[in-house]
Amino acid sequence: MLALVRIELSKLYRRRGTYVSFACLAALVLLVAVPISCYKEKVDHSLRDELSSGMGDDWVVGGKVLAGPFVPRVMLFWPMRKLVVNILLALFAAMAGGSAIAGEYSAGTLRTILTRPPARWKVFVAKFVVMAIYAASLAIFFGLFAFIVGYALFGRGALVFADMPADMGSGPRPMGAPIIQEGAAVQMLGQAYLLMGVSIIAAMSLALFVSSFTSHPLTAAGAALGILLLSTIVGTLGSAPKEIEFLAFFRTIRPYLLTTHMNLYEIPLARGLDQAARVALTSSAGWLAGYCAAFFAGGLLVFRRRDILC
Amino acid sequence: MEPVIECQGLTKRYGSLLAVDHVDLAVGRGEVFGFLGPNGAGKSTTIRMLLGLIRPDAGRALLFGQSVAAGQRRVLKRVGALVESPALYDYLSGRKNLEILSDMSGGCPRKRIDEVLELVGLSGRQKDRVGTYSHGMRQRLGLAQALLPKPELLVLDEPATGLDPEGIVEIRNLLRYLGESEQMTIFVSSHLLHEVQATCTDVGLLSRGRLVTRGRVADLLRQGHLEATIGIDDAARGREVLRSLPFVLAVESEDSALRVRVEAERLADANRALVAAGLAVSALVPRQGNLEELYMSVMTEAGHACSSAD
Repeated sequence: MLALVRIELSKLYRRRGTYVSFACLAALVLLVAVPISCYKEKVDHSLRDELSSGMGDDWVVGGKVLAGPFVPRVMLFWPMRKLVVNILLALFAAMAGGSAIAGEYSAGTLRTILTRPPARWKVFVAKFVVMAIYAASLAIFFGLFAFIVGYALFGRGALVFADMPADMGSGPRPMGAPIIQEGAAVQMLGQAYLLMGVSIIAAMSLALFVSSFTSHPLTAAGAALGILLLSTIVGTLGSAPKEIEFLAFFRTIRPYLLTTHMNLYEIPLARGLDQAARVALTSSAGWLAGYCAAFFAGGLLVFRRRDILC
Repeated sequence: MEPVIECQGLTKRYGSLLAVDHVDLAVGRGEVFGFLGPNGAGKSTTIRMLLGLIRPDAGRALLFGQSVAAGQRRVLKRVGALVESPALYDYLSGRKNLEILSDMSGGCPRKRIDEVLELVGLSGRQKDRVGTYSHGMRQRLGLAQALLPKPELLVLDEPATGLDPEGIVEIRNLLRYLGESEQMTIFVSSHLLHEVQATCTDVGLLSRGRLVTRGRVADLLRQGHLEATIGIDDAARGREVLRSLPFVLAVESEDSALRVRVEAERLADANRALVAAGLAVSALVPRQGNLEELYMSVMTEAGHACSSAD
């Protein structure tokens, strides 16, 4: 099994196309971070304004307010994170998961490897493991690169970010924006990016499942992405106010949707990991694990019985 | 002795199309078996069922007494296969492709990779990406991957497709060498009838999913009739004599000689009759039977509408 995983990893990371997704994520970080760096003084000023808002004119904010953790945090700024996770990362995961089986099927290489001794279930498990590693590595790379760029441009320091609810920070708590000490900020953002990896693994599982019964990678990726977007739309309708009665059905199914639980990476950002957050996180992680297990089992069942005609 | 390949009532249906219809076939150790039939006759489907790529609807396909479709995939360690056009990873080098496929079979010494690359004449291009290979080179690499595990059984589906005349001759010589020197059992499907005749010890003809003929090539070609060219001093008289014989099926003049078709094993009787009639026979040259004629006659008899063997 380990040999198969190694082979699949070697195939994945020797393909130039694999690096397009990493390059896109790096470009996105630079596209956001470089302008901030160019207008560093204005951003700094605006953050100081945020911190001193409601304190009166005799308050002066001293010290450094724009530091390394600002970049990874700004990448998770709403609505940026929705676009990045629900569209960009989901697209990469769907493309990779979709091509894992359907791509090899259409290229004919699946018949070459299936005339070798390893059992089909082992081939499927190896592909699943490698795709999960790839999906997680996307989120980890995204976070790490954002940290690296942030620290390279702005150096060390605490995180000051206006999007944060006031009850979340440690240290002085001004009205407009909390200050989170550097260590706590790195921990919080690290957790968020790791949980983002879990979300992407779930999206990839869906794509791999669709890939197990489709004959073309684009069909598989398109179908998986379509399902994710549909689920996002349904979830958005389900989050509408209760006063809108005709959306009651969507409100009912929203808690069970894959995309609802794919948002689990937002939990540490919103509340930190207090008791309530841990419960919510555990619940969402359980749902995602369930979805992954169902997609894995369904994909394996289909793949084991599938006729290789191409 | 247990057959290397055994099909027992092998059947596959695609909707209303009966692709393979209760095929019973056994191929013994050391045979070089040619599997013939027009396009759509069910050759590739049969081969795929043998290798476990397609699940039969009825019957069994056994290799060395074990069914790959039923999960006994270890037997594939003893098999090398090239199914239709070689499907390899374009973004990897020829050598890397072989390393990956070797690892999937449990690995082989790197020296073996050198050997097979040398055998198929790809040593000089082994480090180039397969995407840059010509069709003929891909075909050779496909053959190399099939030979990699030093198989006891080699299954080749159209191995000479796309090869230039030199390549076809090389494949012919290679198959002869493997069959004669390495005692390898070879199961090869092909449309190149003269190549099959020159290479195979046995053939089976498939028409509309049914095995209509199976036997040793020499025996099948001896069946029915024999053609010969007779050098004679008086062609007109000789023609009269031959036409009066009941076992002579046809007589034609060919320059100063006669071309006759007689029932099998009756050529000596024809010669005796000519001599008895006082004619001087200067030459008696039997013409080698032709697999193409046998193929066409069997296919016509089987009612397969085909104009050529493609």
